[in-house]
Amino acid sequence: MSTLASARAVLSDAVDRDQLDDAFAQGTWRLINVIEAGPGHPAQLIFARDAHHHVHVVDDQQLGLTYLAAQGEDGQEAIAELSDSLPCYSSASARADLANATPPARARALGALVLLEPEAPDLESMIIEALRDPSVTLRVAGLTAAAYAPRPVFRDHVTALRDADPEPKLREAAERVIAALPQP
Amino acid sequence: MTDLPHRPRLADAALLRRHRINGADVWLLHDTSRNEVLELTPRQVEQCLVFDGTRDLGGVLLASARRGAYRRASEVIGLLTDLADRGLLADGTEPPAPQLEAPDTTPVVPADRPLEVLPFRLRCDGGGSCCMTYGSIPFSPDEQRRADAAVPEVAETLGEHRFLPLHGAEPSALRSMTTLDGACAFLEDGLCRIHARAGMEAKPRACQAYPAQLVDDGEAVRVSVAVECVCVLTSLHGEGGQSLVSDDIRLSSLLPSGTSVPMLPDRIAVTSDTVADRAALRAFTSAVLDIVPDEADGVALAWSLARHLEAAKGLCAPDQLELDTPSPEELAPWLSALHAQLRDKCLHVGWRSPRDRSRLRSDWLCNAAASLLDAPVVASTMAAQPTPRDEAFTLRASLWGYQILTPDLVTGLRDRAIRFLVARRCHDITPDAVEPAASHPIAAVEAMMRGQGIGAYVTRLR
Repeated sequence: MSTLASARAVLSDAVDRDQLDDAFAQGTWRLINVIEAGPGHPAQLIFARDAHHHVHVVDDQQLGLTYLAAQGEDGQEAIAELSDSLPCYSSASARADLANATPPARARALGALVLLEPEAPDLESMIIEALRDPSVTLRVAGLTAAAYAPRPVFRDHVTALRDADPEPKLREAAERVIAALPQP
Repeated sequence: MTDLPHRPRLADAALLRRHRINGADVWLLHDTSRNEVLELTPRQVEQCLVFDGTRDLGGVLLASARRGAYRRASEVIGLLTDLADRGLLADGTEPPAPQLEAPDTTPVVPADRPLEVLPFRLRCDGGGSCCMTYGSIPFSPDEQRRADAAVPEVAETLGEHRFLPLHGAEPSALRSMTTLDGACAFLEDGLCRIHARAGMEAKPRACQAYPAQLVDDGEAVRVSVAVECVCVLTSLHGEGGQSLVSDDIRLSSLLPSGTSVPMLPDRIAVTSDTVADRAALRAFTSAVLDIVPDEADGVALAWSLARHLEAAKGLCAPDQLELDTPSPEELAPWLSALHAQLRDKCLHVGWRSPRDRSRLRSDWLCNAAASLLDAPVVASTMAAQPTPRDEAFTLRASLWGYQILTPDLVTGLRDRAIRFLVARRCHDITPDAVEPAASHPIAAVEAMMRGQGIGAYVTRLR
């Protein structure tokens, strides 16, 4: 599963659809497409300001997050502008949650970091730690994160889950993730 | 809260209309099932126009956005929910089944019937009264193009959405024209500009045929008249005029293309629990038409016919008809229901222009109906017969054109008696403004009953 493009902002849980619509309307963005969730892709709304500027609102059920995504330098500007009028979940908050919060909040934080800092040097260790966590929620989050940021280094850890995790569904999921991971 | 249909479509009971009042647009959705009116914003109108049964919710939001009518998803969903709660949303169209065989392209030839035309000649005064009476003025796509070509300034002035679907959502075979202060936008100084510039043939078929009403009863096409324009009743006094259809047309196949000729159902409700076939109804109406004199106490005649049928428990020749007037007690629930309907109408006419004829007539009829809640007034109104010729003719036209079958024949006859009574009372009450039907109020009553939905008062009796 590929991650979407360069600039992203993860929306706070408190953001509702009206706030989202208002923020786009304020920035003279028009709704140009509505994509229902389907096999292999999450539900998305696509807003455009003109033929070259698009922002996707992705409702990612696997990560349990809604985020904005846009491409290119202009995309960075667009995301920054929208983030000013929408409460967002920052990487700093995600890092803090990952260190201290409950397993569901840590799982959410890991998903956010995968989106916001996919190239962060410490992301690998965070994902590996999640894959080895006693909490099923965290292990699932680790698998999802490994699928979103696939690297050869995860292969052994995911294989271990496939072979020995007490949760049958998690073992099945691990099998699917292994297929998506690059060879060392 | 009602569940939303998967592919929402505006139901046929919803009439989307644009009225220009004192130069400003008012966008309305008439809920004909509840006889209520909802005022819409221009954005909501655009949204309603995409509720055409072809899109799921995501598609509806997107189509709204493409029309520039998307602001918030919750706004669109809120409108859909309100409409669904009112029963004004239907589920969308199913995709057509794949066609495995070549379609039969043999043209369907309607049965040819002799025309039976009500003996009557219309002298239209050309004053455009009928063009100020109705909220829906239907145009086919060809008629729209002809009208736009003949009177381009109307299109220039009103722009997009000067025509809206006659019923429900697009696509619609017929669309209704915008009204200006309650009158057709093509009317100017009492004259139809389409007619004036491009001739009678360029007008919509419904306008050309008005006030003729045709119905196929299985043996003949009866041509009657809607007694909804004062010209119909003034035509009874004097010479000349035109037949309801051209004198050289004697077969239905020779009628102009596009002429609406609805078919009478095979089975007709005589009372709420008895039915008759349409041949028997034809025979019955013919027999009654033979005994309706040129001048009559319409209240007594219509009510007595209803009593006669009720006693006979079905259709029965009116040979032994005993003419008897209804008592105020018998009339009371009918008058009460009618007054309630008119009162509700008056509560919902605030959006109309003060010059709008329907608004003025709502007040006029409501005042008349209110005064008839008083039994002595009913008794005195029963005794007065200011327009016996109008009453006899209206009953005759109703029977000729089978206009008294809703919801059943007996109720239809009693409804006619009530209409005559209210019209008599209107004769004694001066309307608030110039009213062309002041001397022949039956025309105003009939127009309001059908054209403005007041006839639905009979449903309050159940």
